[in-house]
Amino acid sequence: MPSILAVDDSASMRQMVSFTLKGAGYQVKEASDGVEALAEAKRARYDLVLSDVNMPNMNGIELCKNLRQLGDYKFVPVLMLTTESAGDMKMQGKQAGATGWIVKPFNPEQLLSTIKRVLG
Amino acid sequence: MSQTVTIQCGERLSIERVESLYSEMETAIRDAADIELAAGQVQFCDTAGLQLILGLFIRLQINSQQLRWAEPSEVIYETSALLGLQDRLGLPKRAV
Amino acid sequence: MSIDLSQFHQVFFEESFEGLDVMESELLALSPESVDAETVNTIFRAAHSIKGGAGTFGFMQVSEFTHQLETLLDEIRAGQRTLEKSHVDLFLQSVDCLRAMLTSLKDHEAPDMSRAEELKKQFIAILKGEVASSPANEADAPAPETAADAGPEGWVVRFIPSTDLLQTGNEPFRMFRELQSLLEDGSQLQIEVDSSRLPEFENLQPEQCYLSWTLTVTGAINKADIETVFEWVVDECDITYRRLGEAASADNASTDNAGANNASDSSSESESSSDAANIATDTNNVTVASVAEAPAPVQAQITSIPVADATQAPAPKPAKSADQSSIRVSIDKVDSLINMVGELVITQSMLGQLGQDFDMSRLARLQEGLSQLEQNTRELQESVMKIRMMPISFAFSRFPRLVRDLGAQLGKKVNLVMQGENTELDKTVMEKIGDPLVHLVRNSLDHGLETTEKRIASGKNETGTITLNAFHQGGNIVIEVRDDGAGLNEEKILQKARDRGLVAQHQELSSEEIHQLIFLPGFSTADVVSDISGRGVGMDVVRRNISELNGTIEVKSNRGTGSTFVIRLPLTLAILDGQLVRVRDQTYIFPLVSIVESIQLQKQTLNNITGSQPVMKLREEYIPIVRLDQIFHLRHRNESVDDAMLVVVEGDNEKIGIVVDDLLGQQQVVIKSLEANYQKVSGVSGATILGDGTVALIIDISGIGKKIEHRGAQPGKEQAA
Repeated sequence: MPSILAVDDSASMRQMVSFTLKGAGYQVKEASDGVEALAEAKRARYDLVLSDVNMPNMNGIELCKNLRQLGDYKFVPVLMLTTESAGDMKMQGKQAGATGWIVKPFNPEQLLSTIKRVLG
Repeated sequence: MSQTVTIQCGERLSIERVESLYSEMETAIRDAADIELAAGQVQFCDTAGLQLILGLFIRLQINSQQLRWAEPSEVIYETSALLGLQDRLGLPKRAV
Repeated sequence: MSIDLSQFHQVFFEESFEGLDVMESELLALSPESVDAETVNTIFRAAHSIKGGAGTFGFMQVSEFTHQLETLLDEIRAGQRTLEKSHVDLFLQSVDCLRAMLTSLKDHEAPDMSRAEELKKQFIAILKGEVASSPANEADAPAPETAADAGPEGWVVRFIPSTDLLQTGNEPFRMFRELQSLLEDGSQLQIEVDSSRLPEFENLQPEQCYLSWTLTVTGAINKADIETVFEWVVDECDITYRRLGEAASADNASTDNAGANNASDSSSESESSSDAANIATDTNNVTVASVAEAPAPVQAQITSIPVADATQAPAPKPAKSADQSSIRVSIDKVDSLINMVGELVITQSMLGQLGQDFDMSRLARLQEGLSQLEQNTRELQESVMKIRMMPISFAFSRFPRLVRDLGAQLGKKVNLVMQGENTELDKTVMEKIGDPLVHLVRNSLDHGLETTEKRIASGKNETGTITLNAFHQGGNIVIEVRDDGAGLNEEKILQKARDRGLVAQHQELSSEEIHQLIFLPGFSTADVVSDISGRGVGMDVVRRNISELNGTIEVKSNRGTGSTFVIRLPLTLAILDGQLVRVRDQTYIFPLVSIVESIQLQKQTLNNITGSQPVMKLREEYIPIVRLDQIFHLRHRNESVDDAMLVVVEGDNEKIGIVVDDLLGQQQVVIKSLEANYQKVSGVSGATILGDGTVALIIDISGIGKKIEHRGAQPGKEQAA
């Protein structure tokens, strides 16, 4: 099953995302900010990175830019979890190389149906 | 010069591998008469992968060289159908 | 798959409350004169997380309210707006409001929205001030007509990716697959590829995308649904939509470069990619705002079932105890625990082997094993206790705000100094010490610190200082609340006490004794009962709360230079330093902190004249003598108390003497709740299991005190000898 790296500084969001994805059979690793996620991404290869935008230490946009620098992550889908439905944040995300975004709030079903757009 | 070169498609016929496959194919076009694609192991393929094969197929047709598929896996049929490429890659008709 | 989101609520509430605390402390650190970008960022992030979580877990009131606050923060963060003091105040009020809302929701109650609505208006007023487009307005905008999109006959979609579409992980076949999954029965998707852009093999750059597609969907499908599939790539492709069966005029729109101009001219239903993008965005906004009422059409397919359980307020459940809480434990602590348990297991197996065939020659090893076991147990106990330990900063964190607000209200300039914030104490103790601390700090601000004028007049710095300090001392935590105010006014206190009959008219007291008077019930020195500390809660309540925690409080004061309240608390409520005593065949435990002294009872000091309750004259005081064998109705009573051993204990500021037969050792005991295991017994605060396996009751000193007062009201009922 594909493996997913879930990055969010909010424990409840992380748990919800992780629980949902594991329930659907994905392997999930959690990270609480960009720095942690980047270290984890270097350690193992994930098939998808789901990341919050606003996080301490390294935000989601920076994380995405950094991931795209890694050979292994040049084409790996990166989805931003964002509350900004306005274009600005999406543009920033796209410019950083993100594949797409999921607008918060979302429910587990929306999450699962959305990630099928980049996995499998 | 009538030998056949076999290109291993591996498990993933996808974007992260197309650069290296491309160089392999360039060499094969130059050196061989026909090209065989060993595609039985392919578990995932994508637009970049199939697009590359489309380019190869067109090139070989122009050169009157042959492209042969060796046991293309199910996923190649599925993905090429989704991309509207099922009749464009010289895939053998599936034995049902 | 339907997932019950309520399982994440607990964590959500916890982190939201933490987030609010962070916001509050950062807001207090924020000054309009020099705005620190990182501080604003931290506040923004906290608000943002709360908004995101609230939306996800279905607390729309919270996410909508937080949205306002976040928007203003974002403008400040982006430098579009200058921070004003009024903004900080508004944010702080919002933090309070959010805390109240979340508290209600946590208790499965509907939050009171009136405050939120009022604050929301203020935010909107500010936001409307300069920056034209507030997201709230966007959300109010009418939803795009989606009904018209529902074309029964289907759509032709021309999709021309930009060549670098594949670089970001987007994949056409997955989009087409998703589109296919949206189709209902009887609908059909036809995919035609256009490879005309594909260069000769020699010029091919294999990571670029040269293919384009025409997708024909026949059957009932909303255009908005199709747009969702392509929403991530609208800026990386040319995409045009044409109703099936609509011919010629639309065809010019479906040529490759259908720009915005082209489409806005067009009266047909073809729309350019940029229009499509806008609609997709708008629809999303509407979804965010109104998902609780009705799923917006764009989401209809995926949300139809789940939205119900995701966004409606949780059905009222039998009120779970609010005490059902969790704590976050650092991995280090858990690791050390696992380590200990590992060692315990080794010791256990060693002892087990030893026990299999034991003879006296191996006694030394047995003793060694037992002492190792003792050490393991002690270490394990310490590690487990550490899990419940939290830095006192959790209790201190509310004070900067409190002092700021109160200082402003009283017109006093106050500087708050906090020391020893990392000193750890038990979570339960922490929760219970909060209110007494608040009272003490209020008291220091209100009564301790002088007015600015008075301070200037007496040559002091016009800014008063309140210091909160915490440190460990022995097995206790000591918390000090210190002010550099005027100190206690001894004459005034003594006068009040005399007026109230708390002290005899001509009785002389030392300074120390006078200071302690403020803890007597009903004592208040403020000439005017102020709104701040005169809320009917006096120092006596503070003292009682602290003694309920087996702690003590005292005050030190110097005229002119200030007062210090010193609270001593046990580090944990789970373990008690106890004095074991024997009464008849029973062992009881007295909390060590409550013991004043142990004396030999002498006949001549005994005084039975009050009738029911024997008292004893101890120096200048009369203290009641209590017999546990009577109170607990033990058999084999000894009728005479002459020459017995007496332990003088103090609880609720009342001394009593308890007759015991023997003083046994002192040891730490683990408190077991009687209520949980049996039932509440008055005069007993809990029980413990001793080394020999017997149960010993832990005496509740103030409970015993109340028992004898009660007994005193029924003279003659159970007369002592």
